[in-house]
Amino acid sequence: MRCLMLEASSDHRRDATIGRRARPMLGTLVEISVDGVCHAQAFDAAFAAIEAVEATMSRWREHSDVTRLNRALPGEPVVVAPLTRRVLRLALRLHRASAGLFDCAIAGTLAHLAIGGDGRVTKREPLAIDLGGIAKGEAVDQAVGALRRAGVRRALVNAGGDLRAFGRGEFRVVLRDPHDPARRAAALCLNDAALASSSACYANAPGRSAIVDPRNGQPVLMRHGVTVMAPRCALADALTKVVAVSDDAHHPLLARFGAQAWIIH
Amino acid sequence: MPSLRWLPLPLAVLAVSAYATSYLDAEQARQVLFPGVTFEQLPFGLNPAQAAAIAAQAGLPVRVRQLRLWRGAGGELVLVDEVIGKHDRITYALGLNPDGTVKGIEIMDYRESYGHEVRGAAWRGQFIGKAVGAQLRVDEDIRNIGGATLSCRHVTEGVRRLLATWDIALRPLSKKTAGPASDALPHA
Repeated sequence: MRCLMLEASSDHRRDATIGRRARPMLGTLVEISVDGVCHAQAFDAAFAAIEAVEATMSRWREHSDVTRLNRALPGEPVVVAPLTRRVLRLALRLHRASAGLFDCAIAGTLAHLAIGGDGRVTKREPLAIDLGGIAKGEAVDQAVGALRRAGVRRALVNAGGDLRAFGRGEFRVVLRDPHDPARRAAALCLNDAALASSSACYANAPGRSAIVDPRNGQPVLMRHGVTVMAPRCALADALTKVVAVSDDAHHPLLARFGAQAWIIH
Repeated sequence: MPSLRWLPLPLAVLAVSAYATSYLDAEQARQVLFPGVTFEQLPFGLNPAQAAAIAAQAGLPVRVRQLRLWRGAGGELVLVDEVIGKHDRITYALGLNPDGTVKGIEIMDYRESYGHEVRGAAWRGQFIGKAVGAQLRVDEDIRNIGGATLSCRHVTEGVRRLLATWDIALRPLSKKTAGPASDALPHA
């Protein structure tokens, strides 16, 4: 039995313990690495938690909360899952705290979203959102929660580069070169924290970018990558956009959320 | 395979290295996809007409006509396939329910080749001493990769090709009371 562990492997019962699993999810490769004995159920729970985020928050799923919200008319309340509400709350909070630098609206602005305490979300003005820039991090956080509830004490969840580690001791993480994702360039040690990165370098057409400046609607043509470390992956994910748009690795918002950033030239 | 030749290297260190992770072997993948199900391996080769029909339906070339295929007692199928990207090579298992719907996809092996380059000190310098619990190290033995988001496009395409393969060639195998494998199979 092949069983790759993060540290020295020990004896495992066949089929009951596998150290690493990966599935194509969230448009990328999601890898879960568990240190120590781990039952298949823990992996299943973690992957299911990620699938739940994708099912409710993907803009490309026909019946997702986000799809229904985008199709709703202004003033028409939309009932969304508690998980979606949680992500929308964080998005709105970051939108306000960053004076609009973080905005996951792809038409209109997130400022026009009203989140009721009863699970209903209402657009006050025409508005369409894409939670891709924060929900991927939330999916990693949800997977971490599922692993913890399953009794896992130390693990790392990596959604194609956006990742979170928990448990005692450091996890070493190599960062890809933002100019050439096939290259690895530097390494960090991660201790109970999350890491997310953004780069426009991977957009393979000139003038295109995965990140748009909400202030003027123009693509952010970065010649660098941004990496943010934060206590939660949803935060790290969202804050990469604030750093990318502001071009400020010391943006005051980072310290407020216990995060730090690196701009990689 | 091209023969190896020694070439003069530039002074900057640029070594080609490989990152590889094995998650599951074929048997483990079958058990993860269909726990408790007993499988038999079926030698199965697509004939040229089937390969052409699959390529047309999936809109993707069929490069390998020999399938790695297992059938469970209830008509479950597991296919092991490999997709190759610019820098990566992924082996994965696709589990298909008897009705041809996807039960699950599990990555079995992930291999990546890249140039491992030690970047300039200015680039690395910003990491050092900045973070509690975060230190820069250039480390050869790291299994976790952050930074860029990898696309899973090739796996998605591979699954599309395998679903077309089921539709065109494997549909009869998904019967619950299939006879001996040798009787049910077309020849390679």
